[in-house]
Amino acid sequence: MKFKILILVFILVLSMALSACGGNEKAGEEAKTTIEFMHSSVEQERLAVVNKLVKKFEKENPTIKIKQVPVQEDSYNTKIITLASAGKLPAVLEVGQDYAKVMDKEQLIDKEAVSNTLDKAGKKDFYDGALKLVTPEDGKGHTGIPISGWVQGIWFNKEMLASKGFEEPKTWDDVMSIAKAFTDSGNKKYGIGLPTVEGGFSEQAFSQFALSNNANVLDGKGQLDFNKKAMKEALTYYKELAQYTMPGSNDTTEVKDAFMNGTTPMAVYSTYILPSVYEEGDAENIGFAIPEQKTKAVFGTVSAITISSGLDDPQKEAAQEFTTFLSRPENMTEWVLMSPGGAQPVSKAVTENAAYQANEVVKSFGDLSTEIAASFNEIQVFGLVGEKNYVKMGVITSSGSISKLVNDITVGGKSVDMEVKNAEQKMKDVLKK
Amino acid sequence: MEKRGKSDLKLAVVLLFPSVFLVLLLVAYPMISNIKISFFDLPINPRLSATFVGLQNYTEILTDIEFLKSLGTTLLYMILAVAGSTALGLVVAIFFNRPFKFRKAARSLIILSYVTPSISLVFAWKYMFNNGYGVVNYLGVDVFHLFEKAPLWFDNPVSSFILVVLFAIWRYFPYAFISFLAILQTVDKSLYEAAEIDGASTWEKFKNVTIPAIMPVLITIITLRSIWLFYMFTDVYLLTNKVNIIGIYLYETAFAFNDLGKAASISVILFIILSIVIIASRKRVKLNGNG
Repeated sequence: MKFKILILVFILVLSMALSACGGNEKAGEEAKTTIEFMHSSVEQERLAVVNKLVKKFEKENPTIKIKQVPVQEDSYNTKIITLASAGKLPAVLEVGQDYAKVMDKEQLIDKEAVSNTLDKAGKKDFYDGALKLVTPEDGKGHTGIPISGWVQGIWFNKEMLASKGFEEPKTWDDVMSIAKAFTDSGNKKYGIGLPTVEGGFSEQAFSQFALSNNANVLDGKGQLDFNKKAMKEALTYYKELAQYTMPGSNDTTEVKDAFMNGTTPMAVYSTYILPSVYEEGDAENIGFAIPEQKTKAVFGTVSAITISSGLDDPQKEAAQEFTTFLSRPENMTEWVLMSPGGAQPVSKAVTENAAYQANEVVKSFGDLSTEIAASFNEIQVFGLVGEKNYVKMGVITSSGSISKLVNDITVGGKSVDMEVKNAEQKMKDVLKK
Repeated sequence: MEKRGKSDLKLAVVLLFPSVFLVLLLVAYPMISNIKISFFDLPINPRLSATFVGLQNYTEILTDIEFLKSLGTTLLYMILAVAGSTALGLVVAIFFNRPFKFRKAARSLIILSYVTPSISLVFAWKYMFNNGYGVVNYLGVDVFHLFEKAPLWFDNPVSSFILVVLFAIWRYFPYAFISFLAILQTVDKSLYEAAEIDGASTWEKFKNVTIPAIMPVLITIITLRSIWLFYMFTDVYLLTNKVNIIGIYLYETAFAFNDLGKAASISVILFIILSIVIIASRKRVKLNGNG
């Protein structure tokens, strides 16, 4: 008898404990559809903006409840993989265009739902360059609705350049001349902050030089087209330019520090350098240039909102409602202004929005803000050939073969010819798998 | 009597059930699931079907020269870091095992490197060894003129390896220090007095009194620290990408190449290697009559 009572007590305690873990929905809220929204805005001030948007949406849509899943940027992709493997992927996710390719390959994105939302949001307002980045390889549908983005180019300090009689660098030769003129390594002064780390930053920076020389990793048929004259020319140029940058592997911290503390008059960096420039009160003294050889190439990336596949109908409908809400110009503007200057608009509806134009940081950069926004249409990235955005480029980038090559030739001093062959072999190996 | 015995057994089963249930749920289930995954080519999307590949993941891993290299690097890293942090912890514990002024404050300062989050320490080290403005290069080049040009500490595989080992020794020696200090304070002082009367030297006292007294703790520290360092990922991954230890190899297989099946097979192989190490160390403890 005692034993039975003990078992009963144990079961009661266990069921109470489990029910306590099961959420706290009140009786009146049972009719609500709850969807999860995963994003990377973990900082307090950014989270406050997302909270405000979510509350506004829930007020407009009382039958839908949004449960936020804020995740740190460093562990974001890892979290997607673990949640997807467990079949627990949130209904709506913020995702970069590169990772959207990986998710698309794994059929984790409901491209039809995304395209419907994009149509409702007014596709024509989005910059073509931004839309190209979320267009899958077969050109059918979209992998996400772009919400904000950033572009990368050469930032330069106008006063420093003028002190030696230089103007805005326009071509490869201009960049090299300025870099050479300002380098005095004995006094730890260098001509350019150039990424050389074995990591994504170097691949992104190098891609601008390669693409401006019409060298892409894949050809129009999606075949590997890496070991060629134009690519080697770009690598040789990058290697030479690296003589005028800080020694060793330069990552984002080193490049940004060097430019901000006046060690270099130029730096290859994204628009995320602008908030620091604004804080320093130096907004009028910064210029933005795009390396140009045979053509112009801006590296850029968009942050998109996507809808996961495999949702049941009410959840899918709720996810579409929420993504449509986030794509409204006033809400996209709030999203972009979470990091004014750093995050850039991907839609003309935001650029022309009064609240965006009235923002102090945006205003302080004057015409530069418009110039940067316009450069979205000049975006070129490895793997995007014409209208085709090849999925296999994601695999090549993940293999780290290009960033290792850049690091080996710049920091390791290895030969371009030999390392191009090694990188090509590595790419072939990973593509075979 | 017999009836009472049966009733105790039932009570024991009921009381043990939550622990057994949790162990099965949190340890046994993931392990079995991991072993199962290691025989499949598994897509990330669970709605797509997995392909059974038999032992292919294992054969590919065991014949991959990069895996074998990173296994060798990991073993060397583990041995050097465990030996260094244990020895340093013991030396500092012996030094602290006597009264002196500000002992409590000094003890608190010593454990700082162990309790501070890895990310802060890694950034501090990266700044210290920065090629442009690092204090180490400033002292070495500008102040003491030890080098003509600042060495690229984290760009050279050999110096990177030495630095990650030094980092691990410095970061983890307080764990050994705390454990050794605790057991050293229980050693009967009369044993040292007796050894002194017998004319034992400092080394002989250490060998014949201190070592046997601290042996159970020493074996535990070596075993636990070896397990933790064998699976090390964060410290090395954040410090440099020139030291490819097994944790990084596993992380890249799973999350850069999205090859979950192969990653699962790596963890099974590592589990087997570590199990052998643990079983061997347990036998060693038992041989010494401490287990």
